[in-house]
Amino acid sequence: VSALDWSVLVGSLLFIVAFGVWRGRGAKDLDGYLLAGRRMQWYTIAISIMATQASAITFLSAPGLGYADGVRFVQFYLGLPIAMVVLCATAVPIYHRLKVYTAYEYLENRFDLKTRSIAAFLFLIQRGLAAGLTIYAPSIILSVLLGWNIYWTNLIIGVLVIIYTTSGGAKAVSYTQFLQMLIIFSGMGIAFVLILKALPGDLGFLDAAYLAGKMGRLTAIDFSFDPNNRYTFWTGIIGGFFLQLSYFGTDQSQVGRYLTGRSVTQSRLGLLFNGLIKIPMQFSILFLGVLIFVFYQFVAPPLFFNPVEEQKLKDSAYAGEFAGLEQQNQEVFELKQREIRTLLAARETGDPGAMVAAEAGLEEASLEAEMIRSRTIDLIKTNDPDANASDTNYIFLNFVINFLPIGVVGLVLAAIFAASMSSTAAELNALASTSFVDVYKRIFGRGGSGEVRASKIMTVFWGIFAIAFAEYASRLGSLIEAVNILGSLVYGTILGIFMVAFLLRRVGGNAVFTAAILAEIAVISCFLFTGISFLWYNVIGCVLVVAFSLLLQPVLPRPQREITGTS
Amino acid sequence: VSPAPTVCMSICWGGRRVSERETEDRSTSEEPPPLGSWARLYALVFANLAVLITFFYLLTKSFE
Repeated sequence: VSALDWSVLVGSLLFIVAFGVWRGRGAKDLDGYLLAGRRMQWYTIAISIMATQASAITFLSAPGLGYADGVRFVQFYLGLPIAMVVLCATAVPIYHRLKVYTAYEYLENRFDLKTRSIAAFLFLIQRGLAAGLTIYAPSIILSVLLGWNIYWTNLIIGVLVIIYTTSGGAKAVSYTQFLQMLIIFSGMGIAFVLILKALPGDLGFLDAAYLAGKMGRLTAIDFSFDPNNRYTFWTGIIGGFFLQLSYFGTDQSQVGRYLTGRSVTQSRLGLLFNGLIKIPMQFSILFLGVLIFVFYQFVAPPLFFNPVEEQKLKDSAYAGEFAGLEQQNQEVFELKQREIRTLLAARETGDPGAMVAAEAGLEEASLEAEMIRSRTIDLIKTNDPDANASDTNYIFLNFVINFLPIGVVGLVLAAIFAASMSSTAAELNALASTSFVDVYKRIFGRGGSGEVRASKIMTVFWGIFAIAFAEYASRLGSLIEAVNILGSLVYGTILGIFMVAFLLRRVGGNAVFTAAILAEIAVISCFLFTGISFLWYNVIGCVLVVAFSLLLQPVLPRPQREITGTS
Repeated sequence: VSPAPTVCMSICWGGRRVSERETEDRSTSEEPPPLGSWARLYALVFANLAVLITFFYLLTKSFE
């Protein structure tokens, strides 16, 4: 990383913090601190919603997924626009009308304290751990590729976020997210153009798309119905719908964003804009990865994109075997390139026979390359059983560092930091809101002048918790995956509670609480004992809460207090 | 006040059943939505989704 890159990176980060502190000043009461005074316009809400959902790992992982697996991951988001419409028609007006600070406040109003508590508790556990991973995930990649100390990287990201989030609350979060998205879009946009320019001069955009398609990277839609297949049209439109409904409707890190809206109209427009833009945005990021894949058809790629794991292999007893694989990889790369050139020439002349022959040759060479890569991964695992055998997250940044010009590298790094900070800031703000409003204030009933100070203390507490978890995460190994899955394990159940609250008037707190416990046990059983794709957990959890609630309501009647509405 | 969406769903509010139209009337004494009604905006979002799915389908088929 050059001095210019460092200047761009450090300058961007300092500007974000200064801007956040400046724009967030003046929050005098809880409304001002936790919900930006409920005065935000739709475009700020829309950007804030997108920035919260898209963490640094989104911008590192998605191009890697595009490289390794093509654009089919875009199906994951197909249910999102439908979820946005459903939330605009149901949850948004209710939350605004009740003037709640958190989604969980509504549950006590509708059911009882224990139902509010279980939802808030699940959120605090899941989001508290996830906030640590939001910091840790990009830090580990930056430390591997750039040799940075991971503990300092975690600390710097975390402390910078704590400074402006604590100082300015939701207002600082929303305004900095606007700036952060500007940096992210600039970085990714420039990277996109430069990748196109890095392709061979005689390869046009359509040629690149043709080649990517022939090598299986442009399969965007798969209508097959296989519950074990993670990304199909059906998992996206059904499972994705339930996941997004739960995430945007019941996760305070998102609910807190659109509750900052000046009115129902502004909140709705923010959500609907996200429904229009999210899929094209995600497709563009995946396509960036596809272009990097095409680039590496003309420039020999490394056998493994994680340089630390590769170096460990070179320093081990398997160094000779690895050198042999590298040699084979180079030969297959040259063979592939010859087949690609033949295919493109045959396409140019319109010779169908030559095209079929070249396609077959290319497919065979690609399979050979995949086998060499599999053998490399096996070797890495043999050398170190604890080694990270997936290098998808390293592909994009590896390309950026090695092939993009100085200055742009700094901008892309700033974009990754900005993405990590924007998600973390929203999470800290949501965790502080929930711990203050649903726990502290509910138990101690404190109000008045100390509310903002108490909320700031909560923000600092969760910030330190997130940094501490990020520092500890490198020792957790496979537990990290479990933390990542945790969201899917609880989202369906929480969504089910809200669905019952919104739609089933007769069901009371006792029935829905018991139903939630039973549904959660069922979802965890699915995770432990079946191979069902995690997107379906959201559907299963939600449907089971609704079904159990209806079944249990006759035997677990609602208390008199709930019926008379004297809560 | 903008017209309510065509899908008029019932929701529960503090233990009392209210229609969405009622909920909207109370909470949206504010700016009308672009395009004149929420139903039209929702239709726009669905239409955009349909166009994207069609585009993805054609992309898949064209470069298969």
